[in-house]
Amino acid sequence: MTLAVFELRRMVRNPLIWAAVVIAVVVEGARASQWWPDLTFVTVRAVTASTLVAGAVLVAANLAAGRDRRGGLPESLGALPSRAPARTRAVLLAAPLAGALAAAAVIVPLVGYALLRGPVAGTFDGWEALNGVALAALAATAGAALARWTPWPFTSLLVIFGFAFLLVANPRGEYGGWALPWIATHDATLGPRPSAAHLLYLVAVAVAVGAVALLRHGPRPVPAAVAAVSLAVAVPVVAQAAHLPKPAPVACRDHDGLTFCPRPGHEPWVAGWAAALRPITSVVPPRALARVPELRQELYGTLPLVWRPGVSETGVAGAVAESAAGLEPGPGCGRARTVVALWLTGRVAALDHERAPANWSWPPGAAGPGDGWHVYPLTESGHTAVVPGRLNGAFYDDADLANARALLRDPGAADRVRAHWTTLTDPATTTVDAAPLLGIEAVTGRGLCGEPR
Amino acid sequence: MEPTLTVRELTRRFGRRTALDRVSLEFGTGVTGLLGPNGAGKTTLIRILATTLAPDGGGVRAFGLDPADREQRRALRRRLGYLPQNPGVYAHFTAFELVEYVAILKEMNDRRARHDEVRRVLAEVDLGDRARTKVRRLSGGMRQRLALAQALLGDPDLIVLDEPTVGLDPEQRMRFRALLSRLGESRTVLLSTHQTEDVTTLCGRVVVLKAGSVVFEGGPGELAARAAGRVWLTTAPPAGTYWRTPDGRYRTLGDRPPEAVPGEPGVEDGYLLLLGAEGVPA
Amino acid sequence: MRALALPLIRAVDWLPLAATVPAVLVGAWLVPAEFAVAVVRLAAALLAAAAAFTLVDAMAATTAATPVPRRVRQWARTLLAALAAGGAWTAAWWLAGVPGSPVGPAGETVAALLLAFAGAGWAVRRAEGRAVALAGAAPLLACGAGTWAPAGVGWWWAVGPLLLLVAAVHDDVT
Ligand SMILES: Nc1ncnc2c1ncn2[C@@H]1O[C@H](COP(=O)(O)OP(=O)(O)OP(=O)(O)O)[C@@H](O)[C@H]1O
Ligand SMILES: [Mg+2]
Repeated sequence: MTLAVFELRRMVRNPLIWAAVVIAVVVEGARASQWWPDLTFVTVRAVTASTLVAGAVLVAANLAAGRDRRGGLPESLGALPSRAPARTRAVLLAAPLAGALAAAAVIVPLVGYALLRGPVAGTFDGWEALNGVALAALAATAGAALARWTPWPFTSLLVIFGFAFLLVANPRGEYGGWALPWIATHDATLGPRPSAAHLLYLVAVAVAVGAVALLRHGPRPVPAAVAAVSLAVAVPVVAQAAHLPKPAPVACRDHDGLTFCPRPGHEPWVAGWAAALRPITSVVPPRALARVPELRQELYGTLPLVWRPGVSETGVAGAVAESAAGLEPGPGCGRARTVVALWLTGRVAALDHERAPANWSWPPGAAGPGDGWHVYPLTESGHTAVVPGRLNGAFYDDADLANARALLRDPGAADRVRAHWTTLTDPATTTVDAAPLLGIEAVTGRGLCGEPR
Repeated sequence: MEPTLTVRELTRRFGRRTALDRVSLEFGTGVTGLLGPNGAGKTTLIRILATTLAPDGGGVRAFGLDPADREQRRALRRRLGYLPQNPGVYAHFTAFELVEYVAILKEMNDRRARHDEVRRVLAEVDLGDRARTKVRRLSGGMRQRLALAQALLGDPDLIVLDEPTVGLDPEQRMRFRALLSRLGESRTVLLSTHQTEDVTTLCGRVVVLKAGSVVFEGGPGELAARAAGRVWLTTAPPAGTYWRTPDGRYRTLGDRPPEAVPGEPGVEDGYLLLLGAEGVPA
Repeated sequence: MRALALPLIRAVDWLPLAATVPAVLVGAWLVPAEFAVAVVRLAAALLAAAAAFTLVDAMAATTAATPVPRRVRQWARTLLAALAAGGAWTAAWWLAGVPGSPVGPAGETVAALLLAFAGAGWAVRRAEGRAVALAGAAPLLACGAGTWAPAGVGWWWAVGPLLLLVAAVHDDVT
């Protein structure tokens, strides 16, 4: 016990572990700061970040358990009454505890930061957070077991990089499923993760690995029994783990004349969405807003599952402006309502650096979509929407953009657009016709609309 | 004595700890012994002289070369033999290979001459018959001799040895003394040691360091002379620190205890009195 | 130079590379094609971390005082290790059957090697012992922390500064 306390004190002061804590919190905090907080994902991401600490703990536990085999120590330790199994047990007690502390030191601040930033969507899953703590504990026992079964500190790196490989190459857990130590990417459409079962699994595996470390000192009944029992727990638990039933859908709600349909748990974001769209809803007449279909938050819906301020509103504004102005996908160049729609999106996100796309469909064989296309994040798991132009599929040219920019520069434009809304959004009204109503000097394009330049 | 090696105002700190504090010394041809308690700064001074550690302040000049300058440092290393306190070895090399490796790093490029030189230094430390033995199979003292052998490669003008006599048996120690005194006739040799005997028998000059400063510099006789009239033999145990000699008397240092007769002062007595060791009045 | 190379090859601790190279090759050969890119990137990181162990010199205290500069010895070790790791990586690339040009991934591999050499090279200046070279993995993991560092030819731009960094840590300790 004294030895375990001694090891714990050493571990708790280990700069390697604390450096990993700082890096994990800073890197993940900086990444998270760019997104609206969704506690479900914040927790998963915080645990993923804490695996960096688990790596450091693995190395630290490996060095601690292997310490008695380095630098001439075997000779002097060999003459002591305390034997190697006692030292292994001390590390097995101390390292998981220190690792758990360090992992908590990553997860708690990251979740707290999300709560501070608000408005917070999703639900906090304490079992999920404890998965990170258990991962660090598992890393600690794995480090000790490696030190006992393999003589070189390098093997701990092999395990760490192997785990990193699983995180990167198999992030959704297609191979291995919940038997993997960690599934880094969560697909919200599948339902909540079986976090409690997975926690039990991780703890059982950690105990089993610790027992395996002790078995290096000879086949003893106690560690053998512990290993067998914990594996007997882990295997059925992980075999039955599956996503939980999805929560019931929640009702749509009206805000500023638009209808928002959030996913369960995302109700707190409705006010934020409405605020992001207010530059549009504040100038469009209510009857035109009524034309906009319900904004549904779902994969490939109008509202994405995640929200990155500065990016996401541009995409949603394009869809809303297009419907409000009565535009449809297809050529719209030279029409007043195209200018109005562009002007509406410009009120949400500036048009200054905008250029009309050269191609309105993905050029065959091209690596990227090219000028004027936009990429919007859709899900946490990396789905994105790649959209040509600012509107949701309606074609325009640089002349329309120039007219919309002119309109944006005019402080009285909002009143005039509202006053002449019906005329301006009439499909027959051209920009040249509408120029007096808009109060701009209309620029005309070359007549090609949607043809590749 | 024409100084071959001068050290001026040498200072070296490790964090907040000052290991060497404005040390100024001159060394000439001959063997100089460096004494001092653990942590006095002997290794620090030796590493600076061996060009493996840079001082924070002050400078070194050896044979007119300044080790702070990259090219001059390299020139100095060509004339230097160094035995570190903890040399480290490649355990899977043979004794010959290990020394040859250092010889290559000492730029002995001609293969035949290099092999002859390796054989010569191995013979100097009496390891000629162990040349083909793996280092891992050598005894502790043999490893120490092997490390010493590499310091003798190329017949260096400056030889710096950090505790070279650790682990040597009496016969090897004698060999070592013979070797060093021969070298001391024409080279500058500096060795640190805790064996005052080494100093008495070998060194023309002694430097004593304490807490990073030089507290004594002179011949071993002078150091011993410091204890003149302060070494005592009594029949009853005196106050302070003492030890019992084989003839049943008690030997102590400092002021005369009652009924004591004077003892023969040695370098060690002078050293202990100089440092004011525990139980020994300064 | 040749005289130095032979004992140096023997002095180097090849064990980590010897353990990694077969693992990487078998992995590249067995893993399904959809993971080929990830396997090759992992191989780069692993080989780099293993190669960093070659910078540990058990005799550093002695060799530090020899006229052949430290940078020659450390760069010789670096080159030997880089050759071995680079060869193994090329073989892994070929075995995994990664589509497209190897220029971008190769840049990433070179950068990973240099990062590991810089980390371990810095650590061996400051401390003794074999485990010190674990420090080579630290910059690799830090680069991959949180997100997977982006792939691409951009890594070639990092090679110049990283070479300077490695040169700095390989310089004489005094
Ligand atoms: N690399 C280092 N880092 C930090 N402190 C050091 C280092 N080397 C030496 N010191 C400190 O500098 C002081 C002098 O150490 P040094 O090794 O020179 O002593 P020494 O006289 O050789 O002792 P010993 O007789 O035990 O070998 C000590 O206080 C030591 O703790
Ligand atoms: Mg010393």
